Amino acid sequence: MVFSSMTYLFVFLPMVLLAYFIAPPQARNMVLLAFSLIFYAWGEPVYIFLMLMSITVNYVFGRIIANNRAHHSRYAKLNLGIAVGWNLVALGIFKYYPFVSSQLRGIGLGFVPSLKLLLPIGISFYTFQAISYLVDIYRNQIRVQRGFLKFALYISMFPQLIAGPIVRYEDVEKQLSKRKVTLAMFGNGGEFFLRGLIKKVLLANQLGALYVQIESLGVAHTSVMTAWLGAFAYTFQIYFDFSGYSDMAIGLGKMFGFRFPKNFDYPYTATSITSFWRRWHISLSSWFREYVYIPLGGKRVSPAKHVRNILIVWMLTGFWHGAGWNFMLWGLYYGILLLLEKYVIHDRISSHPWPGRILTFLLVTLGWMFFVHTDFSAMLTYVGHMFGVGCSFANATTGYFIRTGLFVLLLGLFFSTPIFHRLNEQFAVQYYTASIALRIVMFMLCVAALVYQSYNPFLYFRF
Amino acid sequence: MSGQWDIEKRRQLYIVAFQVVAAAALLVFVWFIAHEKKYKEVDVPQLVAELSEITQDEWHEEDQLSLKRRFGLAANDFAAVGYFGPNSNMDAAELLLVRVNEKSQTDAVVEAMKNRVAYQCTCFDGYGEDQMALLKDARYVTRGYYVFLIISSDASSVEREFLKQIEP
Repeated sequence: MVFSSMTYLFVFLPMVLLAYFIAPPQARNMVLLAFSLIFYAWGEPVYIFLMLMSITVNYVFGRIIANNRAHHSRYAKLNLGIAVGWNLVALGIFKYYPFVSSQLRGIGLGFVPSLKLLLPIGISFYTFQAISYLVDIYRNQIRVQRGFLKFALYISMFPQLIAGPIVRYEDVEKQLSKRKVTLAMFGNGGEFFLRGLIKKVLLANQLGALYVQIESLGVAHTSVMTAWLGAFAYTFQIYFDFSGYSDMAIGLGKMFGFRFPKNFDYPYTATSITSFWRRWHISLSSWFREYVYIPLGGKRVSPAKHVRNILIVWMLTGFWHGAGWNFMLWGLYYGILLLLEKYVIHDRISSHPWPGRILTFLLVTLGWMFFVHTDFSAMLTYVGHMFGVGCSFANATTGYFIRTGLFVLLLGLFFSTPIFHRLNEQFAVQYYTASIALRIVMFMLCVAALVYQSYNPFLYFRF
Repeated sequence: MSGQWDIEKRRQLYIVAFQVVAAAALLVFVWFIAHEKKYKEVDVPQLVAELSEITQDEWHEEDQLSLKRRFGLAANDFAAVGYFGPNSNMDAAELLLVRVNEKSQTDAVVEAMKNRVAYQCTCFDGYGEDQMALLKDARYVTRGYYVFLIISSDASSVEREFLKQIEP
């Protein structure tokens, strides 16, 4: 089920809110869990069994590790290895096996069976949550969860189940047992949810339509400027799409008394690539830093090993996003950029905010073109057009797209900076009633757009 | 002492048993998913091209932009799409076959198809008798992960051939 759908907004959400607040406090986890399972089963019921299996396996292994870590640490470590292995095998089979087998068959290893498996939605997110839980127990950073229902809720909580943020157990440990929803918190949650809905429906979908139009242009109609307009459209689309989902997830969490960590912090205002990745999909970057980069030695090793660590982490980050060479290339691209920043450029660019900001934005935009094109030849053609290979600088089509798309691109630029947020806060303080009315109008605009639009899933559902 | 040792031994046996059950459950689940009855995975654009030759309807292969403009659907959101649209504004025959990534997409695709047919009806209502007849006979066929819209002078033959091609 998609948050930005009529079924969700007018059937599922009212029902879960009603059931949640009618239920006595001790039954609220049960209500949330039941609705989370319904939410997950909506699209592909059969994969609910995989998630229930994951919950059970991680719950039991969590207890085994906790019971043994003090006196039988090697045994606890062995079980941690088995549990993490189980999670990675499940993720690997469903997410990567079809890709790996097709590659192997492609190089003549025809005996490798090709299983036709669909990607269970959200598997990358809940698997990473489960692994962080197990490792944190082993490291004695958290206490094991003995209540099965509470643990099941941690893994399957519907607001962040499908596209994050990846919530670490320590962030919600106390809230799973006891939480309070004040009217202010509920209202703030609603505000976050609406902000996310606006980002998705009124911005991301419009920018996505512009990108699709430009991407599907024939070679005869494209130009350098048109290709860059398309790339900017996708750059803003993916930001509003994904940060919109995160805002909705954080908002829903607040409405039920949970505080999920921030996942975006105006990434397109970053003055360097390092800073960009501290602001983009923060929960994923933190996960890789905590569970891969630091265990590999981080930067407290020789330069050669540091280079290795960065490349490993960024290849994995790329591969996490999908089973495809383009994602590996995208990850590697960032690995190389980060190495250049750390060893060659240092802070020469980030110390000049505006040039740094513009260069970072352009590099990120180029990176998204590796990310979005799963077909290598289409990727090379598109990136080639961005640099003038086989096309003119501008043509009549460019004029058409500037006239029809420039406004939405400028909106994208404006809303991706903190300026709007500050203005909005000032407006809400000075004109309270008008700001409420404005929110109602925006919600109705979103609903009207949803009625008109057909199918617009979140981009990150694919990962 | 020996009793305690037995308890510890038994506890470890339970853990080993759980490890085996966890691994086996995952393998059984994968086997079940991989061997579930599925419709054949066909080359969607090629199948639509073949189906378009069954009748003498006036249509031609369309690009992603037309799909987005007419149905509001982005081809990238689906596993595969094949679309033949009318040759001119005065034709109504269309074939759109979508293989969805997950079954929750099916309703949205059927809805988009119904909206398209409804829009076409408003265009031809009152003067395009033949076109209206085609549109009223529009078929929405859903099988497994396939969603198929058929607006054709011989929708039955197209549907029959489609089902034959995807039968497991």
